[in-house]
Amino acid sequence: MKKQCKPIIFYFGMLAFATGMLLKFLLPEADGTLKILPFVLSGFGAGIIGVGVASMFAKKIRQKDPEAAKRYEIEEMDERNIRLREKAGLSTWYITTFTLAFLSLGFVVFEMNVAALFSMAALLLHIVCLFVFIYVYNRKI
Amino acid sequence: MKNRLEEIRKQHNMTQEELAIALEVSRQTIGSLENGRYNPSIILALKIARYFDTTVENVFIYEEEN
Repeated sequence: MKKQCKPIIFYFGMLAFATGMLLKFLLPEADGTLKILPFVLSGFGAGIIGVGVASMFAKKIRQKDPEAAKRYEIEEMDERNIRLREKAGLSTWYITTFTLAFLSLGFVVFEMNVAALFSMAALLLHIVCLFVFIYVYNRKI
Repeated sequence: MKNRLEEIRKQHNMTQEELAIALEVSRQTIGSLENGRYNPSIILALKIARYFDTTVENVFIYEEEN
């Protein structure tokens, strides 16, 4: 499933970029949210396209050089590297939790209610996701 | 956890890189194992022991922490 996801994400990025460009062309005099939406979509799409293109290049290089492919496979599956990534992921989770909490607090202090709501929703989702994954992996492992 | 990995590796005239390739792990993993910064999984410990035709207890020294 993971290998199948990557092309889909790339096409999604292209769709987002194209939609952003189209909106900019179709709504030149737009106001408010519609004014920035084309730029947000184009930027988001361009970012995903960049990741997809880099991924495709890396895959091509690995196909041409079997030794490099083998080394890449070893580095990806190396148990110490896996453990490192998991530790880094957990540390990042803690930092993101505190960042979202302080951001929410800041938005509330400055009476930016909508932004505060969004950041609090993101914080709640962030915390709930951790417990969901703990539950899921607890049953698997 | 203490171990004799470096000693055994040198007895076999191998570099860390060569041992890493043989065991299909990264060279950094071998380095971390040898200086005791990283403890291997049971599978890797068994692989190492089997590669050198010895036992896990002969490579890795488990000491109870007080």
